[in-house]
Amino acid sequence: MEIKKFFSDVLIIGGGAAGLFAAIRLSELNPKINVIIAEKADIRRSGCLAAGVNALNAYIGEGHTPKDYADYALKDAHGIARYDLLLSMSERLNHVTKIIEKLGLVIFKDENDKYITRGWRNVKINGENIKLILANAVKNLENVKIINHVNITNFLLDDEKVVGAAGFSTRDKIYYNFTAKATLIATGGASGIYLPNHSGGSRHQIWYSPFNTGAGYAMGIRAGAEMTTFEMRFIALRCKDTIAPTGTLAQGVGAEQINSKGELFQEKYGNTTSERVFEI
Amino acid sequence: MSPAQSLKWLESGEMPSKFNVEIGGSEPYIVGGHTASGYWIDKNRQTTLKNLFAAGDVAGGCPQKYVTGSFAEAEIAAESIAKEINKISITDKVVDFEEFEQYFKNQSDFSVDELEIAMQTAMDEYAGGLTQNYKFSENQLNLAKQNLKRIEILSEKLHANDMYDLLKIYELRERLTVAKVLIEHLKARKETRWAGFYQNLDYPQRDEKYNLFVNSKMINNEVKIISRKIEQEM
Ligand SMILES: Cc1cc2nc3c(=O)[nH]c(=O)nc-3n(C[C@H](O)[C@H](O)[C@H](O)COP(=O)(O)OP(=O)(O)OC[C@H]3O[C@@H](n4cnc5c(N)ncnc54)[C@H](O)[C@@H]3O)c2cc1C
Repeated sequence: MEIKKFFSDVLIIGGGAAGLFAAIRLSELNPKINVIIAEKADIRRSGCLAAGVNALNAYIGEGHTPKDYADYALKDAHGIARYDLLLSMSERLNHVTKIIEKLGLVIFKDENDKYITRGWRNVKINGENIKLILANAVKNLENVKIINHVNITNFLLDDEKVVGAAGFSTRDKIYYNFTAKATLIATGGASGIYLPNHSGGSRHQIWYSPFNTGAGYAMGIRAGAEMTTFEMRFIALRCKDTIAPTGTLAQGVGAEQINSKGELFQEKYGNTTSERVFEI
Repeated sequence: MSPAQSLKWLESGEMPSKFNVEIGGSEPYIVGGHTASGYWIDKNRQTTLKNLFAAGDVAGGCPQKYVTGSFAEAEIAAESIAKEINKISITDKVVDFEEFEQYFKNQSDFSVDELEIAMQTAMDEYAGGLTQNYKFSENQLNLAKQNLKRIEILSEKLHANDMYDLLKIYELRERLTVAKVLIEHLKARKETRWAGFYQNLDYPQRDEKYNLFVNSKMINNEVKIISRKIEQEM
């Protein structure tokens, strides 16, 4: 057994969408801050963005404001959301879209050089390589060290203070100890809590990333962090068997969503994300 | 269109021009980039633990963030960290790696996969999974809790031959921890809201009393529920 110890100003746990973007912003703010990204897989193809995505789902289209987005999200959550967080997030949506475009993401544009939107909140992209774009941007940063294939399991605690984290290599018998002044947890959500809708050899054919197993939540829970609204579970409405997105068919191609009686069920029973799951 | 769906059309010959595409719901997930589950954070994206920040799907209170919202939160967290970093001084800590070593020494009659399926089945049947059309009752939740307690005890004894086994053991234990908290949250909201995502058979109606956040903290391995007003920190 080998033990490796690291010290840094900042430890980022999880090199996914949030983790990598945070590293980019930190370097921009102060290139003297040294950062370690500890990633369970390999940042080039890890987490939800591993296989790419075909749209940026949160964007403020023309004629709308960040407040509209925050209002929409609050309503979709039937009032159970933090308006302060929603608003400060919404205010940056178009700004971060510009940044990822500058880094190389292809966003589709019309003849007037405007983004092609789907509804007012969604822009169409060629996003197969979105994760590689982020990974390449981070690799060029001198103050950022990337450690792939390390699974983080515990925070290091000094009373109520987090002073880093520990974990192990997913390949070799190496244990890791990271001490850091500040820690960013960005390990994504949790799949695999419930029996999946495919069994046997296909049981990892699920909507959410099968390797986001709720490590970040669990570490925080064990360390006594306060958690909110776990009861608001997410259930994805998808094409049967393939788990392909229904939005591409419904919004992209304009296919109608009907029930077995041929009724347009959304018109009849409601159109929030949870209502659509209820209707089927 | 997604590769899997295109292949299905090609292989079956049931092209979408002639045949309807069936749609259905997945099993439930906990994911703060779509719903509001996760760490309780302040506007700087700091958690309730000092010097720990959160962004993306792991952070709570801020649904519908997706990719760009995760970027936005990451930026805010980075800015908060950059502002604080020079004020923070820490003492070096080293974790006790015996916790990992123990799994190589353990003896177990069960495999990780067996316990994982046991956990998923208990959650499916008793905590509103896919086969139950996402519905649950308090009696069922209590059964889920009992089952999980047994599985948790068995999981402590799991045996690892290599690092991949150790990874799978930790993944199971993480999920058990999340499930344990989830069950208490499901019990605490005595109403039905977001039908589809949340249908409590004992309380089938929405109740305005529950215009509040159900929060929690683990204290001495017990989940303590904390209610917080919606206006808070607006
Ligand atoms: C199938 C699917 C399709 C989606 N499509 C879209 C879309 O079209 N448009 C859109 O805007 N949004 C989409 N989303 C949502 C979006 O992808 C997520 O909200 C976003 O990626 C969340 O970022 P994150 O950094 O929190 O998580 P992730 O990007 O998943 O990153 C988490 C990272 O943490 C790592 N990690 C996990 N556990 C550990 C551990 N213990 N130790 C170390 N590292 C760990 C993971 O390997 C991963 O790299 C989609 C999501 C899914 C699942």
